[in-house]
Amino acid sequence: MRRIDGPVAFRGGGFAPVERLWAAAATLIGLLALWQLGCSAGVIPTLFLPAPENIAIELWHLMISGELWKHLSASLVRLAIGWSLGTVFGIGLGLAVGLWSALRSPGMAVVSALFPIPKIALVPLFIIWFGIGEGSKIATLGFGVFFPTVIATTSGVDNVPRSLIRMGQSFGLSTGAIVRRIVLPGALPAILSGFRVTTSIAIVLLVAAEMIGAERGIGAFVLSAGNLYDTDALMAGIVVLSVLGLLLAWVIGLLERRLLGWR
Amino acid sequence: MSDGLRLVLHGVRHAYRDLTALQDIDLIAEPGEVLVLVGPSGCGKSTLLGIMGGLLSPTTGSVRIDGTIADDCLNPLTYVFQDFALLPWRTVAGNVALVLDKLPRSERAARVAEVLALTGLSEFGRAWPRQLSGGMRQRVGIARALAVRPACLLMDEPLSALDAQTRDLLLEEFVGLIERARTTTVYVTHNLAEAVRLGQQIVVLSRRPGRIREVVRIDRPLAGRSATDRDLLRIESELWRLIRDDAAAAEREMEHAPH
Repeated sequence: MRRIDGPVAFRGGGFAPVERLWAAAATLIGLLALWQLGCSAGVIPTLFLPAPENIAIELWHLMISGELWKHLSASLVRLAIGWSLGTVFGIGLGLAVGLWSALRSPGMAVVSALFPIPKIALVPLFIIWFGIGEGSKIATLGFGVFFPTVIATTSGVDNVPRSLIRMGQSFGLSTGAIVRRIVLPGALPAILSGFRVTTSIAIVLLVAAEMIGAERGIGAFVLSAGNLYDTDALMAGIVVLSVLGLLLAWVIGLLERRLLGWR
Repeated sequence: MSDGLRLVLHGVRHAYRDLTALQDIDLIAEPGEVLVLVGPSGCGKSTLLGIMGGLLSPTTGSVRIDGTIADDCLNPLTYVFQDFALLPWRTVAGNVALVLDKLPRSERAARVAEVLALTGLSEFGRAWPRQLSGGMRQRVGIARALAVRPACLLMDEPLSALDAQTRDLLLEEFVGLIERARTTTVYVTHNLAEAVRLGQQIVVLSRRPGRIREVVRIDRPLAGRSATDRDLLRIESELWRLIRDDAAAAEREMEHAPH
């Protein structure tokens, strides 16, 4: 037995991180400032890692010369077509696998077998199948986006409460109406989370595909700059890819806020 | 308004693989009657309701409906769910409109407004389900059910997820709604006070496999019944006497069931 006497200590709180925009901006600006300082002081050799200032100047030159748009537009077209194809087919198969027993096991077997293959390893095969042109690059992107989309959609469908589907059936809704009005909106949070993953995968595969046999595109530009030891241009290309990734994440965030406002 | 449906169950048995949930169920819910199903946990009340509503298929036996239904009835057998089953991504009005697909847009809006007014939800048409209390959510469930002008309401423990005060208030509203609409109603509950307040035919099921153990009839209008009525309290204790041993045995069975 022991006696206790004193105020009750607070044990709650925490485990609830809050997003602070200013902290994110301050971190990035701080890192950039450190990097610039390091280069200006000669601590970081600019031959291997150019200063942010030089990268910004290079980016400006690329913009006003039209070179940046030439490469960026080619990449954006490939990204849009490849990602859209992979997403549309991925959502279609994901819904089918999530809803119908006849497709469940065969679909998941194919997905499980093909998903782990590094898609970059398939680029040479796609070049043989679709040629060195746009076909092989779009196929690489589409293939890479397709499997994570199937998995995200199937898991979203699995998480739709069956009681809601039974409710739809009990009111005599058609199968199509149940899929459109109950299953798809219920699976949407998982599908949109999948978009965050697939846009990143798409950018990685875009660069890889463009590094093999493309004249235009950010990947081709970065490779060519590297071959010429033009690190200012190389880093400018990498910054463009980073900004592209940030923009896509922002667009998906907007979509989430618009479509998932009910949460 | 419909004259109501007669619901006839004949020789219904239901099994999940080797486990028989229901056995030898023969019963009739007459048009406009409130039939209440009571019994210990796991006796198959909700399974039986699922079979009546066509959401589950009986292993053997049949369920038939006969009677006349109104021209504006969109879904003769209509459920009210224990967990409300509202779509969280649709507003209150959107949840009700979901089941009115077959109506032209203008008629749909009018019917949504009508049932929201009937259930006291007119102010909440644009609210999201997450913004409502449990009682309000169940009102939306009731509004959705009434919107299709049902001929038979199948209510699966509609008040069990609510607190005691909300339950009492909603129960009184159910009495009013059922009396006005005169729909055949099958009401599943484990609450015997609810059973005697609403039931005209109370079917007591035994523990698994659920069989009809007793049928108790209360030939008194719903409007005149009160929670302190001696006759009703006597019937309630009689129902408890019928269920008590089975309920205790069912409880022990659950405790010993492998987790």
